[in-house]
Amino acid sequence: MSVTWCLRKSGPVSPSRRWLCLSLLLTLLPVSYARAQATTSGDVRVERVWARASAGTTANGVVYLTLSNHGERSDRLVALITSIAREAAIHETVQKNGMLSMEERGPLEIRPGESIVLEPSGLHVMLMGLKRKIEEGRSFPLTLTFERAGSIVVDVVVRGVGASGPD
Amino acid sequence: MKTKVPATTAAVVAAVVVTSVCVVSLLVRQNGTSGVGGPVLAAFPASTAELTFIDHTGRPVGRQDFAGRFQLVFFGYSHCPDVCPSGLAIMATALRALGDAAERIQPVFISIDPERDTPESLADYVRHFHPRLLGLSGTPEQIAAAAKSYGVYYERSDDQAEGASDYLMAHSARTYLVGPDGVGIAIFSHGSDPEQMAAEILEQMQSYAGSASREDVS
Repeated sequence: MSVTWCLRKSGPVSPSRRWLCLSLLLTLLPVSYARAQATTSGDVRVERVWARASAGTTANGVVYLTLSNHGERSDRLVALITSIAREAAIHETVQKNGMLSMEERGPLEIRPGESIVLEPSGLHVMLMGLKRKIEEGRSFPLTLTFERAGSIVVDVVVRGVGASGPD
Repeated sequence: MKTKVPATTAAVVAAVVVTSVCVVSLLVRQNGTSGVGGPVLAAFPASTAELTFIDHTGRPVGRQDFAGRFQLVFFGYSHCPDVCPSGLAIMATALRALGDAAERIQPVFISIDPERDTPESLADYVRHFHPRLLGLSGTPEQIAAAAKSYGVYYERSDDQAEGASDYLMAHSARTYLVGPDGVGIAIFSHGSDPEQMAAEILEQMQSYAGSASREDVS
């Protein structure tokens, strides 16, 4: 309603209406953005989804996100699919013999009431065989399939190469 | 009235307990990200002065190129998706926090994957993190010699290799502060706080300058 009111061309647009529309838009933007950041299916919620832009010629990438289970039964993340890469899997950066390396961690169990944070130097969604570069400012879809909650499609927001979080 | 007092007290106690638990868990989380975080500072004795490399412009690099400059060094590889961008982002943030003092530091990224990290690919990589970040590669022998003098370990993770070109590497991911003479001054563990890293670097640079001027006098 407010959008049509703002876009209506007939008649002169008063400065006060222009300002009102602008502030309305500014108020609405973060709300829709935050909505895009949190996706729920059944008892599972996926939020704070972001990827780091590709640097150089690498065919690997990562996605970070937060999973939470608001139900009363455990669920398991059993599959990850994205159009941007040949393969996506849960990996964890671990320290062994003075070296950091990655180990596969799927299927990932989320217990009732539990939140799992995938973040730099910890758990992450590893993307292998990127089909195109991950570019800052662009987004791409990622489908997470849970045993109970089913499939959730999220929009992965791409942050800069040096970013350490989605904000 | 009398029955209400314990209820209020209980509520206050509960609130305090809940808040304390939240604060404590927050602190624990910040200090222990996956067991790889937390700043550690220690001296390492090896001299790096005799090491040689090829930089990201294809130019040979040796001790003369660092003469009189501190170096902030991170070992990694450009196909590294998680650890290396995090480590280099911490380094870049620390350098920004150092302000003008950062001008006396040469930030360096040494590749432990010389097979894929050619000068061209490193040029396309290092520019994303810091305008002055120097990407160094070289022959496998040059890289092995560099890793040895820094005490860096690295190996190809063959269990994850599927094709010839997108294999992963396991490697040490600490950040090293090296003095103008090529001798190591400090080591920071992966996941160090950039502000704290900057403060430690500044302190080390100042104490280095102090000891250097004392040597000049004697």
